[in-house]
Amino acid sequence: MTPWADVLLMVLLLAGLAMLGSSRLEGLVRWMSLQGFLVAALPLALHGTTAASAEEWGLALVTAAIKGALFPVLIRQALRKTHAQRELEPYVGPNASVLIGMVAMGAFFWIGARLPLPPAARDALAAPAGLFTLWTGLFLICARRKAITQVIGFVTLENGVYVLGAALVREAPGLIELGILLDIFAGVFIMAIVLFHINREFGDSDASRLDQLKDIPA
Amino acid sequence: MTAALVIAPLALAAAAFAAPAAVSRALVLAGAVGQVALTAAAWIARPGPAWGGWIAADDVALPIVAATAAVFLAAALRHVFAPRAGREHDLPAPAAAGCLLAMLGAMTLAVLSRHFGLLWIAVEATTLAGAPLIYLHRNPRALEATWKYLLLCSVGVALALLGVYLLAAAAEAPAAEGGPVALTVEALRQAGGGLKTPWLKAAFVFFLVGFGTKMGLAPMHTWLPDAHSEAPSAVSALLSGAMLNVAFVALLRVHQVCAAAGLGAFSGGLLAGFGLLSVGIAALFLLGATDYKRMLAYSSIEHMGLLALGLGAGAAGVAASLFHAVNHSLTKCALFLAAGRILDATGTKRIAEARGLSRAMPATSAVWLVGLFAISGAPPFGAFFSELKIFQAVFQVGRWGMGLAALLLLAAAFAGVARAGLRMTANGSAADASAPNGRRLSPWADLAPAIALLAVAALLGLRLPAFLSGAFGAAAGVLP
Repeated sequence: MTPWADVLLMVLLLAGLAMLGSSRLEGLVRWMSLQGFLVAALPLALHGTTAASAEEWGLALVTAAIKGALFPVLIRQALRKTHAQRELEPYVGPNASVLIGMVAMGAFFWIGARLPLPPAARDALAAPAGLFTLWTGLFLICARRKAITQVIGFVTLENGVYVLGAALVREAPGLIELGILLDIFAGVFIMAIVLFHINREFGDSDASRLDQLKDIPA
Repeated sequence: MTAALVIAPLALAAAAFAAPAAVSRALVLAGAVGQVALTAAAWIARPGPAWGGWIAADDVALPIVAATAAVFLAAALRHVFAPRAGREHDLPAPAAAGCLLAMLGAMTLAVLSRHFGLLWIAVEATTLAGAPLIYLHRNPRALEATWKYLLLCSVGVALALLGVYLLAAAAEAPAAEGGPVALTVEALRQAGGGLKTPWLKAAFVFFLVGFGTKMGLAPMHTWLPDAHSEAPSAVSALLSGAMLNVAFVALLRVHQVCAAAGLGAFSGGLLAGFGLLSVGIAALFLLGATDYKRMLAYSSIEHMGLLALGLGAGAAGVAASLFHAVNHSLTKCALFLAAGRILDATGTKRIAEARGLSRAMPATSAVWLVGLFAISGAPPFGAFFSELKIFQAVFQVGRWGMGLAALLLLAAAFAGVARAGLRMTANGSAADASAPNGRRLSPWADLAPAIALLAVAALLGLRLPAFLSGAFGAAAGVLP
């Protein structure tokens, strides 16, 4: 563990709160991009840059390229096509979301302090930060109407899982990590394609219009 | 040879993406036939593990790999020969062929995986390969179904990834000695009681929620009826007959590790609980079914519930649910093929509008009705015997209340399914089922495969071949 890990995790927590509070989609994408760079650097910060192997460096660079740079490009592309700049009429507004988020963050710190975390190479902030980021992603998926925000929520949720993974597992086989990253990348790529079709079909990416399929016809 | 089961379809998928439309369709058929041949060869040769023990054609995997190959062959025939008139705006043929073959490869890899990281990668890959296929006919309803499927399954599977990490935490420095345990089924079973219990419990919960979403266990099942009803029938057959099994096998492997660590009662109890809930919710919707493809989807949820119930009922339950998974795959695939034919002819998915089938299309109508009875557990089909064995196992482990409740719900589900089947086939106004635009398919492309699948399902009930009963028996040994 290095002091850098604490800094990264603090910024990650704040980025999550900022996402909850931003109603502009462009702002959401920027915070998502920042999160991508943070989680990419986290394993290096947790285990120390000098001790890191070439494999760890390589993985961090690939992660940063995909989560920090490529995902925002993909989502901005979809954003431009929708002409949607802000989230209108979310189920839960930005102010309420931030309030709920602060309560949740407190709860995760309480839980994180009670988890029997393995002692070596761990950071006290890692568990709360990971859980909070995961929760933020789930919250964005549920509380926002736009399909595009739901994709951002999915990326955020996955970032949270990644942080928890970095805190829990000392070293996973590089091949597996690469495979996971490839899957996530392919997932967001396919979601972006589906977003394009949703825009074309419905005029914008309001996921609440996707309500035709049900068991009892209206 | 084990690796060939995965590499062959994936290589053909890559080729199909780049090939012209006609060639890509031929590649799908080649991949389907090749997979059946490779599976048969694997049964005979019983190859050892490959890729450093990360994949193996073991007794759990082989029956499911075989069912997957059979379902894929039937679905491929329907997909390739499906009427193409008026389908110019569909997903381009090479992309569809590539996704189909990639899905076959990913499903097979997931079933063969004995490393939990690799298993996760393969399961997520099946989700992704399936998404464009659900949106094959590009219409708004299919788009909605695709979005729900993609988002819900991706979120679910992302939670399962946390399960993988938690499993790694449980395996790091087991109490006996230092050093992390590899995330393979063998190593984790050997570590057994040395795994850290709280982490393993947490891992199981996340696996259950994650892979349970993918398997269609209630209450995470909401994507399933939409995807199964809006996808083209060949894809529905593949989703229900093959993809759901993948998540079932994944949960079986996790349950196996929990049982080796002495947590079998914990994981088994949770599986049984979610299983019973799934059977209950499915029965409720089956009683009020108005759309026959959604009815088949809820029937899949019912049977996935039964599989989970069986998984939680000890070694005999594991063997029984493996048998039931095969029966469900074959029968449900035949039913979706028949449903596709009915949809081609009548142009409606509503039970109330697709009437008088026995006069308009007698052969399809017969397959439809026989299939519905077979899936509801009527003898002599295999599902009757596998359900019997599941309930025997459930009662053996002392879950009397759960077993009786599930039996009652099954009876309710049967009533719903039988009512719908009889209403559709009974001699009503046969004019309803006049083929509107002559888009009906050659019977060799879907009716004959459906009959063949039902015949195999009957054969499994009448006389289970020794190689299959041997595999199920050996698979029971995965639990201590």
